[in-house]
Amino acid sequence: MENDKNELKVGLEIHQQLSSSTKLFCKCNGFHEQGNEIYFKRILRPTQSELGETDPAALFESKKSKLMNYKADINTSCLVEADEEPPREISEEALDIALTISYLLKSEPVDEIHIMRKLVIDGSNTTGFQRTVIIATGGELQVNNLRIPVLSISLEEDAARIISKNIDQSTYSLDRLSIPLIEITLAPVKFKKGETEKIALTLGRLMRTTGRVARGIGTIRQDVNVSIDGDNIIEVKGVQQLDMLTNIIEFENQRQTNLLKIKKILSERGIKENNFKAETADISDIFNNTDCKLIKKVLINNGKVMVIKAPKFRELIGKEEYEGTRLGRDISTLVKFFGYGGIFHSDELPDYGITKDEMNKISTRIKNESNDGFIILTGDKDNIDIAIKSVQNRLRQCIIGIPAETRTPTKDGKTNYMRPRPGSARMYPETDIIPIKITDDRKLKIKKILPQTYEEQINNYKNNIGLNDKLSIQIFDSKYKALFEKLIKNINLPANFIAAQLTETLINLSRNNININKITNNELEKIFKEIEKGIIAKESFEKIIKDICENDNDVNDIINEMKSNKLNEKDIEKIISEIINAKKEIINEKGENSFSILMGEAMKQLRGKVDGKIVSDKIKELLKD
Amino acid sequence: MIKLSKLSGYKDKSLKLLSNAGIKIGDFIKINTKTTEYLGNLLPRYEYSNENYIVIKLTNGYNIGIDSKRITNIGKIKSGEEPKFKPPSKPNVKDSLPKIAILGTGGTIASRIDYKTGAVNPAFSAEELYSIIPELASYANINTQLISNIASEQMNPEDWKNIANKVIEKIKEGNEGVIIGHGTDTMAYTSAALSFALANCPIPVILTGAQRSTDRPSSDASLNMISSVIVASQKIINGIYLAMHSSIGDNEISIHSGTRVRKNHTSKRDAFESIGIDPIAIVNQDKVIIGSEIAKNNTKFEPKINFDENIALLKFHPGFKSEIINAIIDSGSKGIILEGTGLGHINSRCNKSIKKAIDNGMFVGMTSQCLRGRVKMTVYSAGRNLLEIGVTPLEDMLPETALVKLMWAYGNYPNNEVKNIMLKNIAGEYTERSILGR
Repeated sequence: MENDKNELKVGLEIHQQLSSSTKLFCKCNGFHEQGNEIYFKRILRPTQSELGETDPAALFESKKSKLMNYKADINTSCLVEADEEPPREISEEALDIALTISYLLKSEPVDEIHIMRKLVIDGSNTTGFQRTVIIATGGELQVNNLRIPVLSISLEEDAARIISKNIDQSTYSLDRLSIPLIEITLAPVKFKKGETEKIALTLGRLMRTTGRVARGIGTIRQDVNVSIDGDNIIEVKGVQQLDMLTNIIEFENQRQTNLLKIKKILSERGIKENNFKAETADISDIFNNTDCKLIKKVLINNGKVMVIKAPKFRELIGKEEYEGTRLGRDISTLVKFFGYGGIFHSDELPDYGITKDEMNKISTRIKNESNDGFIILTGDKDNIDIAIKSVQNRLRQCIIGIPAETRTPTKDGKTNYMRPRPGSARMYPETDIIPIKITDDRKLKIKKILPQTYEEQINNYKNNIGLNDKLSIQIFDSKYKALFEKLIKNINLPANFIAAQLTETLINLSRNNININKITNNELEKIFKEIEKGIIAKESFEKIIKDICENDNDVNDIINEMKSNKLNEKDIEKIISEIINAKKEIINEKGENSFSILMGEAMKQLRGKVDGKIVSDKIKELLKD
Repeated sequence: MIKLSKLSGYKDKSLKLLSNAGIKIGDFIKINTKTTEYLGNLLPRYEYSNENYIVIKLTNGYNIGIDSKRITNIGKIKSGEEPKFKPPSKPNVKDSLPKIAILGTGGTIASRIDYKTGAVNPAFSAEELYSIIPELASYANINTQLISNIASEQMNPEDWKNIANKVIEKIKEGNEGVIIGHGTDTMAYTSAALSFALANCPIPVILTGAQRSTDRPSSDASLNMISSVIVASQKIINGIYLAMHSSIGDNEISIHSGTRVRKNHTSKRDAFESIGIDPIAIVNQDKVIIGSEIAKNNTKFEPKINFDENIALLKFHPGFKSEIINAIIDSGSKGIILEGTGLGHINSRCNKSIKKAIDNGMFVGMTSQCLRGRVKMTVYSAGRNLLEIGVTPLEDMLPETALVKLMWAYGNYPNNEVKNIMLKNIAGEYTERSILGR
């Protein structure tokens, strides 16, 4: 469904958390919460530039005047995250991982890296900026026959996690703040359906070949830059699921096409930038006896009803050739930022209890002609002027076409307005950290230990380690990949078994709301060791994990208890003999075919205490007699 | 914060490459290496970094350094533009609001960023302060003056004298309060110095600063400044105070007594603590909550602003060599403040040197490196011996405050009056009672 006149181009930007042992600028580990929390509040103020201007995105945020509440677990955050201490040295481990990935993409590392401060004032960074550094430029990603140029590779801090957002305050948790992220920006390419997902998947897998990237929900995020005319780029931030990409791109294509159509029609109707005027008026009195419930309520609570003239906008606000792309929807989202529920607009009225008569009165009040439209905004008097200004501004932007915006994806494949695109280059040096040279020695060292490609690693799992197809891919994609590779070296258990437990079993548990993040790699290793020794039955793995995660029991205690409950051979023989005796008649009747009944009965008693194979061997042995 | 050098800072090969291509700072240039082409604006070189790297700002805003050895080609694409800075205009401030003077000594209160070069420039005129901290206009009519521009660790007692003189000038000009922007490193030394020099001051004089740099949106500077102006404008307390955050959150600002405050953390917002007493007041939003009763002060304001630098502050420790004390005596010092251990003790092997100092007419006073609690030298023999030699116990005066006070005492009084002055409670440097829970 491409627009014929314009070429839809899509640029992918991937942000991937690294699984380094510490955060980027301190020695905390963001993944080990302990439950010991402190809280504090901050107000962030916009900084001014030399030109006396403030970054538009920053101003937008500050006009919403929010108080920031921060929650910090003292195990995952320190004074650096609270902006109470200058940053420590950059994590060399994270830098090495970033350089490794750069080389895998044939990208050229920069000679001397300079860490920068990038202004971010929505509260998700306690300092009001994000520390970010460009590591390499150039290179390419090969996806089947397609070669996509890499524009840049950067290393940066992840932001704090939003916990709640209200009109006047937001609450963030600092556990995620400053976890290292690698950001890979790919050049925009012509859109082909289904291709964007492939590109993202290939890039994700390339990064995972290092075994040094984090896995799990929220550890990888795709931003997609969509442009239908090459000039105005819309950034859609935070696409979590790959299968949504095509829907979102398609939605943007339609939405942007719609905006270009609106621009054309406005021009045909004679509206230009220099004659655009979106007058406003207080129309509360028109609704003194209205049937509209919402407006009645507003007036009772001492609010106002304001109208904004939308000159020559008849049928353009509600215009929707593709679901969700109408301008009215974006304007509604915009006013929500200022605490208003939404808008009414002339294209959708009369409706909602607002009558034709009231509409006519409004039109008369603002001197509307046949091609004009209007927007109604109701609510609290306090913020209404700022909200009105932003609506007027948005209408004005329709004359220009597609305003540069940052948008967020929705669950159903649409996008919502989020904020104006930040001003260019609102970055300045992080002077607390001296620039770092990337030495030739370091480059050589990293080039020597580059990981095998995705295909090579999968083949290795299949051919040399003996995993089946499904498990090979599953374990490669899982966060336990590195642990798996360690375990198969040190523990004498079938690889398929280990892989299946680390993937299928754990995934099953998490689907049943067990928090498997509580289990550490050390604990998992212990459990497998005990299975290898025969202390724990293979079938017990799931039960033990559940126990540790749900009840906070200690893995050592569980192992010790199992050791003491462990049945020795004599006990097993005794139990099975009893069962055989009890089932004598059935055995006589069915002979060897009674095996399954005996097995069932035995496992009823012995499941979890004895390995299934041992039970079946014992039954077979005793049956012979 | 490192100041970017005004000069390009480039030397040798880098300088040659740049000047041969006719390139100046700010120009948009192209640099080729064997493998890559970079486009960006030339930046000045950092003062401390290797001169053989050329630093540019890429079009995406990031800075990078390129090894000049690897450059195969360099050329100018477009000349740089000078940023046009429009200073803000003064807002309408009600004439009825109190007249408050803000003095700058070098610690920044507010700054502007030049994103092109990354330079962070202090912003200090009244117009700039109102523009960056608009709240000030609701509380006061401010006038500003930059009296020096040095980092506070570079300050010396003569700077305290200059500041004291300026405050006197501001009082004569009819200001109802004075706020002093000061670097945090030695802010408590200056607040002590002014507490003595300007004892019985008829207006509030509040020192304040910022622990977190003012270029960042999270800086503590604005709230510290607003709270200081609020306190000064309410005219409820007179004297010398120090205002900084009470906690790591932006909830309250503590107004500390100028003689009992200390910087107790290298970087936290709430680094400054009152020792042995509560802060005199707390500012919460725009409410000022007074901590304890402020004694009404009817004594005449007679500034004494001289300081004698020849005083030593010695922190005693195991292994301390008495030769150091001898060297201090020989260097012409007038007095010594000792930071002893515990209740005011030092190793007795140093007693001989201490006696020599006292016999030479030097004042030797004892404070404790515990910082909290009172010195009491009659309890153990180590202390009693020192008392016998003539060491003067200084109760619970903070060591740094004692140092400043002794410099002030020798600066303004004859030698034979110094001891009495040191023991007199001039500006709250001694507490009457040791409060439980402090």
